[in-house]
Amino acid sequence: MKTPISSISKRFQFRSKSFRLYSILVLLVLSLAMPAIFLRGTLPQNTVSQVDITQAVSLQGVSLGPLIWREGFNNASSWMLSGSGSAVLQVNGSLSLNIVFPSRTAAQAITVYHNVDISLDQSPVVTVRLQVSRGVSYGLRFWGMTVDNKSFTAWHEGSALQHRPGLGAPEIVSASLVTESSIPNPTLSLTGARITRMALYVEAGPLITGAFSLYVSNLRANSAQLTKANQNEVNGNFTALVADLGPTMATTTLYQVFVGLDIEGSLDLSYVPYLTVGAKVAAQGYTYVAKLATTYELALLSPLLVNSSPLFSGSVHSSSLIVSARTGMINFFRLDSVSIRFFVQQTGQGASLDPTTARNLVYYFFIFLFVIPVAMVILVVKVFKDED
Amino acid sequence: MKTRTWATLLVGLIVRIEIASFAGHPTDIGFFTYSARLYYETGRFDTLFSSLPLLYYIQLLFYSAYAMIRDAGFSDTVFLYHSSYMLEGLVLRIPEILADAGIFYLLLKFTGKLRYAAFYLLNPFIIYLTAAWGMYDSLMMLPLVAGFILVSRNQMRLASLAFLISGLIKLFGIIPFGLMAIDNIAQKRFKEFGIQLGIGSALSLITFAPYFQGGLENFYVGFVLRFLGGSGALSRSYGIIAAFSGLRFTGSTPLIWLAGAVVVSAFMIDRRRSQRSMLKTLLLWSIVAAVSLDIFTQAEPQWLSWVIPLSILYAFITQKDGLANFTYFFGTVSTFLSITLLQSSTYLVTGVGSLLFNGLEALPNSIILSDVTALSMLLMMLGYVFLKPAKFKVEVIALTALVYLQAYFWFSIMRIVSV
Repeated sequence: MKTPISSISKRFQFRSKSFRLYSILVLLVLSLAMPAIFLRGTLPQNTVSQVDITQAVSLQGVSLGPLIWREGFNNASSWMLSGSGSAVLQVNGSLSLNIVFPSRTAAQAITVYHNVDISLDQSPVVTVRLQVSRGVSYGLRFWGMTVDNKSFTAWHEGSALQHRPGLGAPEIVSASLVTESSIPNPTLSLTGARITRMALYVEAGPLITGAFSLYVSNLRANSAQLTKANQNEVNGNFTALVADLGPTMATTTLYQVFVGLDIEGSLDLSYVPYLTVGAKVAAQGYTYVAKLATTYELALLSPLLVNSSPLFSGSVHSSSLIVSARTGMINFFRLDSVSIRFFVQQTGQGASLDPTTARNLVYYFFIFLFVIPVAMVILVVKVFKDED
Repeated sequence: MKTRTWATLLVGLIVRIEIASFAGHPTDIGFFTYSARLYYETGRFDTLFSSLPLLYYIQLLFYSAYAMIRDAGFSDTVFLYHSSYMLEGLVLRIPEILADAGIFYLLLKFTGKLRYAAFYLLNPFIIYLTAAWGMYDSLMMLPLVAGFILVSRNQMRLASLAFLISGLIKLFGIIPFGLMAIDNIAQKRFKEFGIQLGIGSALSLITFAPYFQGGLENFYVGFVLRFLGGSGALSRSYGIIAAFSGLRFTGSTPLIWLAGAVVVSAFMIDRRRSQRSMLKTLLLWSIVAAVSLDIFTQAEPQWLSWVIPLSILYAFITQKDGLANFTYFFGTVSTFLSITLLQSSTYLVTGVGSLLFNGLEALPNSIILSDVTALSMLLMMLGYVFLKPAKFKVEVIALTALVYLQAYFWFSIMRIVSV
């Protein structure tokens, strides 16, 4: 049952087979361990690096402030309809758009435009409560005017506000108009600028036909309230946290970002961390929920995970870490550490692959993965059978 | 060793080296490449390494040979869209290739059957994981297999140490280690239990010590909670329960605790009531535990490989030849499922995913299709394990094809479940 060490050592005799085996193993490990110690840090540093940040330039909590604008849906003539397909628009305390898309080989869309007047100086966050039929997509777009009457678009492709699939159920969509304005216009000064026009659109892909509807019951804007933090820690009721990490960085070689954070909030709190560089979302994390074991989280962000953008963004002139609540509220936040990793990944020469070459490579791979091993096993089972 | 043994070993090594020289999982190999280069380029020890520390140490050891030739002026090249250089990627997989050869040797020595050893070494799924993907499951399975062989020789302390080393590479090894500990308590062998606990704690502490410099909170959340299924991240899941329910678990499904309790209880009852040897009981419930993990947790496709060497060992000691034959079929189909439904035929070869065989690859609900087929094979494997010895028949192939086609009809064509 038991194997005392002494009995093992008795068996372990010089020149024995096991001794030779162990000595080879020890020699192998030593011959690899020595260079592992002495060659540490000797390769030219040109492909990987890690930047550690322990202190953010600034940290602020963002929450929804007072109501600054609300659409009453009491003036039908202020809503303008445009696009293909037949549509009936009703504006009476709410907005109801009933559309029939005929069968077409190209995509179709109907848009309703509305003039608004919302100052960006108040950091407005627009919130829409709506319901859109399944089978079509929809989106919101904004346009604005700078203080010197220069018009600008305040929407961009890739934003979470565009081409949203209709759920057939009520949903609430929020957007920071400063963020939506600054992403497509990173160099434009938005001081004194106003959002002057908005649009809601419903679109159908090729060959999608039938009756669909868009129903908007509430459309309003609240100002965003900022709470500056002392050092790396903030208390309050927040929808998002924005940590300024300093000047912008090159994002082409950005590989991973690890963020150590301490977070507490409402029971239903779930949040997504983002790293933005200027107006661009450079990396995104998973959706995180609170754990029972600890309030600390080591979040991983990667450029490969980017599929949305945060409600609030940081300064367009710096890199920011944004922790955005998806559900619930954040009550406490402490930024512990940020490790930003860069990895130069080269592409092989002649890397443009045509399907024929790719197919031939895959066949070559299958020969070594399936054909040769299976043939050898058949040989072992059938031919070597009696010799086993 | 005889010529045919050398021939089998040579074929196993050649196919691995050939595939590893150009293929690789760009993301996973990218993690390993980054961490190794961080050490050899900047001198920084990667306390945020993506896997357990023992793997990092082993990779750093073997990478030192590569660092030496790079320092000597060798210029490596990237193949297509892969994240590592060609020789670099091969070097990172040498430990796993050697582990495969080691398992082949152990199975051959223990069973005396070249056929059984070949079922492991030439299993397409093992080749796929080690050489093409770059996964390190074989590195965990080498001490695991050694542990079971040591149990057969009644060398329990060494076996326990082997299981612990296995568990420090990938946590599955902790299962037989834990079952042995439970058995020690149940049999009132408290001294043995104490020794096991002492060695386990000391070795774990030594292994993890360098990681403490990254902060105890990072260690606790980044390692302990993440590897015990307590992460706060709602990440993607390949498990059949997650695939059917559409849920994204923060760790394992709550059912895993039930499955764990069943495995432990069954192991203890089995030890108390049956006349089975410790080896047979430990192997049996380790296989059941591996199957349970595949079903009830956020199982990764590579976890399917764990049952292969265990089933070969179990087949030998229970003389269930059909089970050994089935493991080869199981591995071949698992490879097919992983390539066609979970990745794509080109992903590991070129470094970018594209669909070359639309009829097999571009299928809706492909994860469910893969999960259902894998589940049917796991249940068949349990059938071979628990039922009377049965031959591996061609009907098993037909049955698996039927399950695949039924799943294809209901989930890909009719889409009765949408995830």
